[in-house]
Amino acid sequence: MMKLVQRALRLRGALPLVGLMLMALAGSASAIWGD
Amino acid sequence: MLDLVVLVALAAVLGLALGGSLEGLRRPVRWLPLVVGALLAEVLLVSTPFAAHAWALRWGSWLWIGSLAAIALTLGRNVVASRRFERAAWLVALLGVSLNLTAVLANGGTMPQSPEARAAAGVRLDRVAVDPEHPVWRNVSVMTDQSRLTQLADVIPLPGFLPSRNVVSVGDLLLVSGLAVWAFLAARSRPRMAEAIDMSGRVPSANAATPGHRGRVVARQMSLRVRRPDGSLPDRRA
Repeated sequence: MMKLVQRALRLRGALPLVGLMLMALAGSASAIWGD
Repeated sequence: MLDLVVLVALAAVLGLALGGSLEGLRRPVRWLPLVVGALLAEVLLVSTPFAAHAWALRWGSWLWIGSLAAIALTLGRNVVASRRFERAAWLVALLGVSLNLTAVLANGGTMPQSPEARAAAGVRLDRVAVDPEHPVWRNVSVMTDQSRLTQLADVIPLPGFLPSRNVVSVGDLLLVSGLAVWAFLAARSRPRMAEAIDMSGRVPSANAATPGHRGRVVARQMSLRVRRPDGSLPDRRA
């Protein structure tokens, strides 16, 4: 259980990077998924 | 666009490979919930049956313009909250979204896509043109003689070796470049010894917006114990 919690906390550390990627997707003005 | 987004992650990996630290990537990005909301609105408009709904056909462009504006606001907030090179990276990204927003506003709520670029990228026409009998809302439209600010529109075909075929704009490239540079800088940064302990022996904060965050990160890396606000010391294993 503790390991799961620790892993979740580590994943939380990746949130800014995930946020950047979402920002790139949402801010683009081309087809989101392409063809 | 997904291919370009991967570049942001690759930039972070490059920063780590060049001796960076995962701790650098934990620095806060402001107003992320606004980004999630904007993206959800776009996915709802583009990738669900809602795109064919009368409400989407009537208001879809305004919703998209709103979501682009939300991203611009988020980037602006991060420009204000950052310094030096990181601020420059956020500024480049903000410029990209602003150019996209300008082109979309100038063209009635959609981004014109160059037919030549579409052919070069191998994108099918039916991904852009709308069937009048089954109208759906699309964020891109076929570029015509009436299209405005075409230099800012989707005119750059992505190279054929990339997994997805797409046409992007100058704004898209600026946006992804700015975000990739930020990810690289954040991943490459490492807490310095000089930042860890000042002359008074306290662990200082290098980030005024989140007092003590950087200090706590440095202290954790150096196995230091920092007093809590109530004066107590955390457990050594914590």
